[in-house]
Amino acid sequence: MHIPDGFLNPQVTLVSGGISATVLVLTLRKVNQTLKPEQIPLMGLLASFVFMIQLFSFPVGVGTSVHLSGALLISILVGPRIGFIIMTVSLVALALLFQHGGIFSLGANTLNIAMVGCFGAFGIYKLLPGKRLALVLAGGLAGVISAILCAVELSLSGMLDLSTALMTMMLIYSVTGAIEGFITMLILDFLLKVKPELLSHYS
Amino acid sequence: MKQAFIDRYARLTSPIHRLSTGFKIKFTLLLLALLLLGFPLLGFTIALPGYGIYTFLILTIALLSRVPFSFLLTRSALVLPFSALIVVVNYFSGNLALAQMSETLIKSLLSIFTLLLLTSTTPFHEILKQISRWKAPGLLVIILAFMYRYFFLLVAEIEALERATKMRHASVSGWKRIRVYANIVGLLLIRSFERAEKVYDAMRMRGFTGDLR
Repeated sequence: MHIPDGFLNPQVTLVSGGISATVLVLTLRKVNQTLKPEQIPLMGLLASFVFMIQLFSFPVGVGTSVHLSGALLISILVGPRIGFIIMTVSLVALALLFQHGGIFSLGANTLNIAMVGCFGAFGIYKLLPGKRLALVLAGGLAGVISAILCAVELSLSGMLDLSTALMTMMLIYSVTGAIEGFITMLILDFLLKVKPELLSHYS
Repeated sequence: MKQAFIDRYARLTSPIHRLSTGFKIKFTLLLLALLLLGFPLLGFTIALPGYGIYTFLILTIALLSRVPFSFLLTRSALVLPFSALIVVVNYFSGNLALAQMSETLIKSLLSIFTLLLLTSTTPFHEILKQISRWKAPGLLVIILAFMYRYFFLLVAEIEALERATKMRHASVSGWKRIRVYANIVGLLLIRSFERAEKVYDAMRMRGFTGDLR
């Protein structure tokens, strides 16, 4: 979920913005060292892909619909660093062009969605044994981290009381995170069947 | 196929559209910083006249810009689901502070409206040109430019995939549809990879060597 502008107080805005900007600069420096020219259009196209799937909700019956953030999927395909850059850029575009999330809350959203999704979920996935179930678990656990961050940001800003925020957010985010992991697993199954050469990192 | 323009109203002519892009970006950020970082520090009661003046100012700009109000209002309404979630959670935990909640709502509506005024009076590529003049990292700017350029193709592709799904998977219902969704996303992903290859070939033929400056 993208936090709009107006919900975070100045302190939280500045701290989360500072953290995200630092990580982004460091990641950019690292990626620029090893960047191959053919990766530039790929990053552009994948960023549009992420942007599209975040806007495209697919109905799965009784009034519910699903959509992915795509962070875990992209990180598995092109690595977490490039994944993080792609996710961050698509968050910028979503905020500027579709009013999903704000400009000043971009730091917090980058932290909760891009950083946790790419470094967090992918890291947990790499640490866990096994492949298929590990995706669901990694998605769920990353959801919990995301929920904690989101709850702390909102309660420090005086929007919610910390314990309630933690409970509700963790409930929502762990379920959506696990669903994200599960769908990522289905997508990887599909890719393995149709175009396995994309999954050189996944094995 | 209907061409989907993201910055649909950015090509109108009005006094606001004619202002320089750099000025508009700076002014928007200044307004937002005042609204989100300045007013909250004053406290709601002291800042109240400020909010009034702010609202008057951006409504004037909106009128001058000739961007339809219906568009600005429906897009601004996108903050409502998030606000509703916060209100509901606070209501059930018994600490709903109405005054504070209404201030937050006013702030987020005003800020989304302000940002909309920038993006609907300035073509997106002009914004990119300006921020790259301000030394934004080249990689980020070029990725944004790609997104802007290929967005409408992806829209068309996803619409076609949706149509195909409706035709072929009419009997699939409930949670089984998750697999259908996964396949659609997977297919879109493959096509993105393939298109990236073709785009790279075309760029290389025109002399692209990976230099971003």
